[in-house]
Amino acid sequence: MSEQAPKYWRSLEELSESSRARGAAEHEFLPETVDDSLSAATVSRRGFLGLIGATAAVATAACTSRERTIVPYTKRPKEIIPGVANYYASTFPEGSRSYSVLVKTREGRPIHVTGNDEHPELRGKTSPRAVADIASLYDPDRIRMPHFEGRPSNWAEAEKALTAALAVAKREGKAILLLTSASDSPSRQALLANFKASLPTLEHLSFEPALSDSQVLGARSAFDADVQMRARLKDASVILSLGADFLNGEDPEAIADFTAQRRPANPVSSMNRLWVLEGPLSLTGANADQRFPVLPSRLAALAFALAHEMNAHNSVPLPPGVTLPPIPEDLGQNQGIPKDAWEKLATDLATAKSKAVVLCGAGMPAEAHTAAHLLNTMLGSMAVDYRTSSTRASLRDIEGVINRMEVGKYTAAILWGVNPSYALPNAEQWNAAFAKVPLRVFVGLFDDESAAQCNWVLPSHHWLESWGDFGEHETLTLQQPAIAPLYDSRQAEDVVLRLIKSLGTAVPDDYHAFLRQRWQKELYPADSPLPFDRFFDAALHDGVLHREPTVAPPVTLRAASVSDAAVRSVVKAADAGFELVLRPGTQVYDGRYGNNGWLQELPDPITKNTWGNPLSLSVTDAHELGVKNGDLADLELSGVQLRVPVFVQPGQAKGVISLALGYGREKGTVARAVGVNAFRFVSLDPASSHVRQGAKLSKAMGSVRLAMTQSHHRMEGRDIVRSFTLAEFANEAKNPRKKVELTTLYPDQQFPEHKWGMTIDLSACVGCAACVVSCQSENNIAVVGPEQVERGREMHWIRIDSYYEGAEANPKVVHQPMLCQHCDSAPCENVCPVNATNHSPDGLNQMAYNRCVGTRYCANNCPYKVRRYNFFDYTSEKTEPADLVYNPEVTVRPRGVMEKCTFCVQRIQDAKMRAKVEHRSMRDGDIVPACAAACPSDAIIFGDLKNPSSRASELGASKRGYKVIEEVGTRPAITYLADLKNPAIVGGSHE
Amino acid sequence: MKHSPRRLILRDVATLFAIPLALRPNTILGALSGADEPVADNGKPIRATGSGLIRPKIALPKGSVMRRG
Repeated sequence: MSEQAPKYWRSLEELSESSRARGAAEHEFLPETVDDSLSAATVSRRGFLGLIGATAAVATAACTSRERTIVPYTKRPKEIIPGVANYYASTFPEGSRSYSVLVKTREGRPIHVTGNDEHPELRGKTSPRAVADIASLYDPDRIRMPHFEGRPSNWAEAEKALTAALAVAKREGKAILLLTSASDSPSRQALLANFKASLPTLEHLSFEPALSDSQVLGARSAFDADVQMRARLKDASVILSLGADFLNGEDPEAIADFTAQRRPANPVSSMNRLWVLEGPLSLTGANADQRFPVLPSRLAALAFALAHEMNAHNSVPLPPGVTLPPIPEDLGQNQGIPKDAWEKLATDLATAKSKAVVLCGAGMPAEAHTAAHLLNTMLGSMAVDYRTSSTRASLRDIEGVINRMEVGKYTAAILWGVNPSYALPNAEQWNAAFAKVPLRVFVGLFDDESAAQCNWVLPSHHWLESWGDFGEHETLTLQQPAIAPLYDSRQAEDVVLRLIKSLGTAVPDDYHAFLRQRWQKELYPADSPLPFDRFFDAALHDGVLHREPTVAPPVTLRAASVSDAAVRSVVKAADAGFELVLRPGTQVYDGRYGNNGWLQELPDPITKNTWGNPLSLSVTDAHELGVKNGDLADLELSGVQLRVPVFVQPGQAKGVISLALGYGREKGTVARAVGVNAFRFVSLDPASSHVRQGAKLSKAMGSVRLAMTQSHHRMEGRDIVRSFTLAEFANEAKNPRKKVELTTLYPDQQFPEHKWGMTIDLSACVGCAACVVSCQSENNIAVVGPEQVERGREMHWIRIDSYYEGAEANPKVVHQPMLCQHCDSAPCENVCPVNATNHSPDGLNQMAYNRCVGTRYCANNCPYKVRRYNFFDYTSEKTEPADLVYNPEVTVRPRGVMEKCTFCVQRIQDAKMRAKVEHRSMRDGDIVPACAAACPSDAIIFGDLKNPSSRASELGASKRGYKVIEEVGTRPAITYLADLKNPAIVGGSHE
Repeated sequence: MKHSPRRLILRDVATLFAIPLALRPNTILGALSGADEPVADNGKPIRATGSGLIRPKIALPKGSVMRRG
């Protein structure tokens, strides 16, 4: 390790070198990880003998296992070959977004979701939530049959009640309310248009509670049109983010395009540059080349000031008619942006011109969006295009609905996949008014807060049991069932179809037929040589249909309203108190995934918090308030009060606090009472509903322990992460660090055929944790719950470590995926007393689970801290249907057994078999472990290190390549490529 | 007592059928009846678990087009 090597830290305690942090580093493991309550107790001789006796009795009893019957098919379905997976292309919908996916099924059970490689933009990648949502298919909380007033009923009765209400509504002209989630499904829109045509009094609103309306208002103000900006980052060399978190995993295309320009093979290559101005530290901010923490309410003023700077000093003309008010010269400096950085930012954007792009966060105030549109217009950015945005109901619209419910306007209300009783800031008002609607119908998966307010609760299909099409532009994706419905549920569209039929309109019997009919009429080419059935089947097989690109709507900047927005934002004075930023939960989004244990236990990419949503605040504010992690504080805003635990976040802007939405649910076995409900703080002001000013925060009595993973599995004081600027990389390449060549007493391992290994590019890894979820799904990794996570007993085989460097107010962040390094001289193998962990002839550090006796010596001796121990029996307690999600190719591990990454050995064996059946040798790329398959930036490359032309070998030879802690002589099979940053200012990338 | 070869053959064939029928009656009868669902040998239908919960019926979807593994 060189003397000038930067100091990396993972927590504020570590930075301040507190005695607790030093003690933790010296002891490697949290005391709670290794200590059971018994170990601390004093045991007498007599008690000891008693324990031995009891242990012997229990052990004898435990030797009898529960008898389980394995029964073959008496009649095997022709589609199924036992042991061979089948795949279905389908689509995972999430509000107005959708992801084309490939669903892996075994013996009829969907077991894993990955991206659809046929999709031209997603290129086989998808969001972590799409991967994890397979668990909700088998969620025991799913509604299994229709219920009326809490009692089991049936579909015939439900239909009767609904059709009667509709008949009354049609006859008497009474209104029916239909509240749905947003969707980009054209066939669903056609179906609802048909419903509206059959019942003119139908009032349909689509509502997404986690999305702010400011984006729509900002675009409307700039262009007088309902358009949505979409970034094309592959064309961008300079990117400015105004609180836009485009790297948070929701947009795999953006991550792939952004990181494609950030992995130079040699020092003279160029990179794109990411500038970030934001309040709370986001994943995008953590990946920035230059980041400045600012107040979100001042983003618009800063952006207009930047337009002024570019116009005045970089000769970039303002669009005709746009005038900017006098802007203080020191506006940027007042927000903590040094003058040279401010000027450099303007110059950078002006120089890149059409290759520069300005993005604004969806929740940021409307004026900031307008300013971003102005900047992109000034630059003539080619890295954005515009699309017509779909109409969504605003909170004001919902308020109108509440008023109409109050006066008894509706004869019936149907809630379809929405949960207003939880996700509205005025939920109590909603509930009171909703109770006045005579017939209240809920169609959804779970018996949630809104279902509790309805007479009829109807179970809907899971998306893996449903039909549909999605996408509004050049690529349409199809959704098809990967399994027949598990319960007595119906697709919500089928319910609507039956209602339309009851109104006397001729429609197909089910939504599958409706979909086919619509596709035949509108998408089947008249001159196609294929019959329609084959055309449709081919589209189902691929999951996508390519169409002619749609013409982008013409957008012209409205000079007057842009100028007005500039005046409003520049003169706006900051309110006293904190600025509260509300953002959709990275894991649970708007709360719809609250019952998903995989997502609840997935560490937040920034805070590393699981199972909850503590309030993040800056280090300075925490010092002033006298609070530390886990302390309780009272948050008060506009009369709403909430007691929340706090989390002190390095890099958070002073005066800014942030809270994730989607927690604090009151229903759901898993979701209930996890975190606090932040929807109560969402403002009805559409211009800034998710950024609130004037919040008060005060310290309260008491504290809680946060289930955080950031300080677990430490590897202090070692050369673990490397991060360079381009200049430093050039220097490093000229004067490479001396490779450590240790002599060893052990003979070298021999690998006769293959030597599996991996390369992980830290410059491409954005830390989105898609790999963590994918590994969990593929390898049957247990969920352990918050109490066990607090004790450092989480079971993830791959984790994302975040390392900070620099001042706590605005540190640089490096993410490092850490998994078993499959060392050639593995320290874990030498110490196993029963040889349960040993080396395979192809370089895998493998585990024989039924040989492991649980001494945990291997975990103690692993310098990478990647071995996981089953402190409890997490698997056999799982009953049907929850256990149907297990991958049958991977053994589930019982209590007392150690486990860890296997490089997805089941996939390696599968690829070997395929090669053998096809009478060929293995090819590079045949094996893709689950983590690599999910990584949107292709940061993880797996291959045969004995093959010098494999991608893993070639990348491993890069000048950025290094092995973690190779100085201890472990000879890891994973090569990391150092992170690269491209700061604009010499002497620090974030400060 | 001596049996004719024909009787011996008939007895052996009957034994061949009788033994599995005695040991695994439900499997054999299930297979002979052409049941779609697997039949367990413990005298209970396979879809009933020990706790009395009805196992969700796993069936292939209709109309979907799959990609072969």
